Amino acid sequence: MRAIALLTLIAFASPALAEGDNPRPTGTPTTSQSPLPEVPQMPDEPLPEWKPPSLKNNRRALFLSMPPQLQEAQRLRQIGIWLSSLGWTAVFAGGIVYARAIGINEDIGRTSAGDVGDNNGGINIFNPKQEDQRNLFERAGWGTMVAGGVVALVGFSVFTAGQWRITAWHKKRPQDPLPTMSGF
Amino acid sequence: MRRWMIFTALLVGCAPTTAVVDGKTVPRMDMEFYGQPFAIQVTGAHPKPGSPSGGLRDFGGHVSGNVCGLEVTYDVMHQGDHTHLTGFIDDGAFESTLDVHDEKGISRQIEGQLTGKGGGVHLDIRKNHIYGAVGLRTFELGRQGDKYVGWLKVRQSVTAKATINGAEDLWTLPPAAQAAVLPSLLTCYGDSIEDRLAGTFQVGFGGHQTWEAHHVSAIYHVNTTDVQRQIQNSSSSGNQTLVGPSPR
Repeated sequence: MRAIALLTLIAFASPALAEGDNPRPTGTPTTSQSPLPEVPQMPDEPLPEWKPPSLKNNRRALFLSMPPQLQEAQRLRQIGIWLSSLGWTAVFAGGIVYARAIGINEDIGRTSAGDVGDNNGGINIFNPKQEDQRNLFERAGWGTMVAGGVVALVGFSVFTAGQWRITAWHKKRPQDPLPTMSGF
Repeated sequence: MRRWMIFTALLVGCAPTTAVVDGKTVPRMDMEFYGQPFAIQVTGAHPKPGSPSGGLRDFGGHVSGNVCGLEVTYDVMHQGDHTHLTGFIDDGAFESTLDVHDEKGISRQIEGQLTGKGGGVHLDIRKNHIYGAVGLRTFELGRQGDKYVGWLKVRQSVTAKATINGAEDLWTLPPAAQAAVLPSLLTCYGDSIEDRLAGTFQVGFGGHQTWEAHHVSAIYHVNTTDVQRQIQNSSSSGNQTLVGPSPR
């Protein structure tokens, strides 16, 4: 629970930090009545000779089709969807395992002969292994469902954080290109 | 236009991979540069272009990338007394041609067209000054530490403070890359300055990379109502400041 809260806080807090990476210049342009800003006057010097940049200084540029903040938000949405999908799959799988446990439980209560789960005879034999098996499946089912639920919840939170960032950016800069299926 | 783009793509595919420098065959260079807000890639560049007026006659490579939201792509040819760039900006929307040459070893002149209509470029870049005009904007900036500071004017009536950060990094770009980047970069923030009469002009070379969408460029904010109104107000009040770059 603490982990979810911390993750959500970080995800939602990040846009405030990210916006600082791409600040737009502020200020009002003057009209013709205002004095022009002073231009520093330095003497002319010879043009520098161009030298190829060293490999160390030539870091890779990022070639983007949308703002990096939106790319990050889109990545969050994708991670969220994946986590959510895995979580719900685990819940489903846990449900199947739990249903198996119920089946074993019903068989324990009925007379049977032969393998666990079969109802093909009238012999009343108590098999403690059946109870153990039922308990195992029950615990496994519950455990998988709970874990899957947690993962699904985390995924939902992460997706929502990404979507919130996209919405906030779009409200601020409505003309910027958006990721696909961003809801606008 | 599609024919030109296919031709350019084929040309790039057939571009030479080596150049002769001082009698030796050396591989051509691939480089990347970025700033606020631009990111460009120079491929197949001549390893020792020297001055654009230095007499070199050879293929100069290919410059492409994103400058102030505009996708730019240019082919470079060194033509002895100048370097010639031909290409397109904003993903093929406009054809652009630029010429770069040096004068007296102290001034680098960039002239040409960014867009077909009203997108003329006349820039004078010096180590300590940048003067000139791009479209309807005129600029005058002087060196202050690692930046150029000054002003830009839109049609002589609307003035905004202008700053170009990373003056040292500007000179790490080869002349062809300077010509490909600077004119488009100087059209930045038209959505604020021309459209809303707000904001100042601040761009940069080197440092951290930023990104803008293409609607930010002034080539999409010409003839705006506010600029026209400013011009009319200035004409009626008789207060027009006619300030151009100081002759050197």
